[in-house]
Amino acid sequence: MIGFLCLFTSAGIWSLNSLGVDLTALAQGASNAEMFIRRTWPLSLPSTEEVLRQTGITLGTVFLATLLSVALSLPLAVWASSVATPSPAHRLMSRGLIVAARAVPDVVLAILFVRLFGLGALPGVLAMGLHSIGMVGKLYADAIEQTSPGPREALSSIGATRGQRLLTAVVPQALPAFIAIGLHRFDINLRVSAVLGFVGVAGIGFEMAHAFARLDFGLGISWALILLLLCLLTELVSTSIRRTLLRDPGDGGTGARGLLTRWSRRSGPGGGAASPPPPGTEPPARSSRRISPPFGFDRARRWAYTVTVLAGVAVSLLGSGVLDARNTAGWAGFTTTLGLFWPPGDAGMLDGLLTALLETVQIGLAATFLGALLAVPVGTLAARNISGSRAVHGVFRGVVLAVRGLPELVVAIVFVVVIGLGPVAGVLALALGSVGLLGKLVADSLEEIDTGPLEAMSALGSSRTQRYFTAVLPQAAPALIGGLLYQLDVNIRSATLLGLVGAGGVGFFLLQATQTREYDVITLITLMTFAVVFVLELVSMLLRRAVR
Amino acid sequence: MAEHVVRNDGGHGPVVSLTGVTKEFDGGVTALRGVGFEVPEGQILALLGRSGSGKSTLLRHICCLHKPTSGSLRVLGNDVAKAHGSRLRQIRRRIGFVFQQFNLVGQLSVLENVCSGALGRLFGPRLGLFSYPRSLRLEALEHLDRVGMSAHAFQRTSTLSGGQQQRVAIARALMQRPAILLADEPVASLDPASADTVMRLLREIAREKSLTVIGSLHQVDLALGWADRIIGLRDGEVVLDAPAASLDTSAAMGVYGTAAAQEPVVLDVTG
Ligand SMILES: Nc1ncnc2c1ncn2[C@@H]1O[C@H](COP(=O)(O)OP(=O)(O)O)[C@@H](O)[C@H]1O
Ligand SMILES: [Mg+2]
Repeated sequence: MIGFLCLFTSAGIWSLNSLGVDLTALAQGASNAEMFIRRTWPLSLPSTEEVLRQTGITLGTVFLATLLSVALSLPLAVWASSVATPSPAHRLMSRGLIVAARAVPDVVLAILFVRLFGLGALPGVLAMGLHSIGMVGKLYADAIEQTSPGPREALSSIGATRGQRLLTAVVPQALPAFIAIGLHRFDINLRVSAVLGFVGVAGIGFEMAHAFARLDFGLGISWALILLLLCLLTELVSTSIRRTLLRDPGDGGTGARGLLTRWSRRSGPGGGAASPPPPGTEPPARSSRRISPPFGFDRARRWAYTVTVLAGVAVSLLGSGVLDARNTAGWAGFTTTLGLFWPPGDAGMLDGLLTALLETVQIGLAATFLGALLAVPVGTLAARNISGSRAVHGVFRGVVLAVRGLPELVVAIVFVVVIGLGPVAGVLALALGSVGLLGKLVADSLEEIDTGPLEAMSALGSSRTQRYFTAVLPQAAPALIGGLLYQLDVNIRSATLLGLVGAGGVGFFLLQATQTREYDVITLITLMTFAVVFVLELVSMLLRRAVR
Repeated sequence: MAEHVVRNDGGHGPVVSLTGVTKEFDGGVTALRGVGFEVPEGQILALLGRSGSGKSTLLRHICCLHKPTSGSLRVLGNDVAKAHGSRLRQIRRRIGFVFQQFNLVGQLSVLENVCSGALGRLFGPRLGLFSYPRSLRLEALEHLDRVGMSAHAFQRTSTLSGGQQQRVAIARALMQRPAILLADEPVASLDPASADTVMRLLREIAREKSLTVIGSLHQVDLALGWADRIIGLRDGEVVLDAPAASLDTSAAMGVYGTAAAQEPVVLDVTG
């Protein structure tokens, strides 16, 4: 345990050093900031009409992409789950496809599809739609796996077929999770769309990239801020929808829904505990009976949802231009274009690539280290049982939530503009982003600790700080280390993309290769990134085992 | 109607018959050892035995959810070992099964859960009340009338109490138009008053529709007052098989004791 922390700290400090992140650099950055702010201020805002148009394109693209991934993930998840798979071969194949979808980065897919279809929304829909299967398909399979087996068994005993069991017993159970996961992916894809703009996917990201390319910082930052706002808004909406969905309304629920349910139950015929009718009473005449549910809140809401989604699909399809006739031509060149990506090649810059890859790993390490330094205090203050005051707990939970809403790459762009090109901006952006995930993890795992030892120690007259280091941290340590390793994985993956926006690492070569059309280099970079992530996975597996 | 298909023996002879049925699970557990008995049409049979004695496994065999490792099992005149695929589903759909945990789909309305009992004779998957034909919905309402739950037809099932859910589960089983009704500890999760309602309902319905009922129970008193016949299981073996009227509580308790009768008590029950 101590060994792990020493290793992690020294790796963090070594990375910070070699990337040149230190106090002087930060001070330098701060003075640069003044200059940059003068350069970007006043912000040159795009016209309202343009903002609405680009927002529409972005939301439409992200919506269609998420829907595409949901549509493709559903059958894959059914086949991949142990409860509903038609055969072990189906299971293996769909698991393989899901893993493959996660392995190919969305940016690389976007580069491929932009080459095929040209600049526009369609490459974004396809790239995000396909890549998202990696997450959506996996989580959908888990959701199916987690449905209770009782109803499935009951339907088997009725003589229902596999398809009937799936639709009647599994889908109603998993539906809230399906929708919640889709919404969650929508939020993620909205963030991703910022990056895809840099390789030619239409929308706010593209406008932003374009503005920065023309060194119009005022406009670029405006677009970045607009996207930030959009991310926070959708996050807010989708979080509240997800909360309502995932709460099983066993008691009729709360809020408007609960009120209506309780009200209709009270006024319903018979109400309370009905007993079998005494023999001799005729049941009401067949034809006059109600055989469809009364049109209540639930049905109205279902209708509203369905109509909203359908309208969204129609508007997105028409508005984003993915149905454009010229797109059909793109499919024709598919195999030729794939050929451009294979075999992988280095275009004579292997040394540069390797150096950039090392820098990428260093950015990941440094950002996770700095992020942990920030996340532990923030997370501690956000834990209900430790923070000591409701207000402090509430404020810091809010901070963590707000940071989680920030798209890292947009934050990186802001840092690049403020403190200049290079890995320092990337490290700071990812470090800040880590507070969102890691801070939440710290808070959650502290809230779950056993309070027995804590009470015993207070009885001994110990101080709060003593209790924190002796009774609280050691209990939460295994969970924290797991979280740290996960964050490191996330940060290294993100670090490979930072270069797209000029924040250091191997992503720079990704952008360069796209511009020079050396697509074989893109494949090489993708494979190199795989290797790094794979090695990291192995190392963290070993470390986890050692810590436990 | 499809419900005539399954009975293969012209409607005579025992509804269920087991000879030397043995079940060995993959893990090496032998859950049933040489179980043999016959159940005539219309009989109400209670299985007694402590937890782990093989009651659930036996009921699952009768519903064709498991197949015996060895021995022969005939249900409604069909040799279960030889049935596969749709033939197997045909047999299952004539056998209603009531579970300890009800196994209803909590997210669906009560009426839709009852309608799902007809899935075995419907073609294609269904979701939503409107995917079931009008006539089926009316039939489902009648079964809900019978169990006294039609006032709750459009309520979300998870909002019902345990006793109410079990009555809905019985209505779902009736929707299968079953020839046999199986019940695996149907009242083990219920309070005494609801348990009484459910047991009474099962018996009344069995008599009205001349159904054969096989229920596993763990309360001896309840079983004696309810069933026509008692079969006791211990470690997967039949250790008692007698008409309920011929037994008193202490004799039936022998099923649970270790020192009690080692030889099966077999009395004439079919006559
Ligand atoms: N699917 C299964 N796989 C392996 N062992 C099982 C399975 N089902 C039941 N068993 C075992 O068979 C024995 C009998 O179980 P069960 O029929 O559930 O008993 P009861 O219903 O009387 O409590 C137990 O030892 C149980 O662990
Ligand atoms: Mg059991």
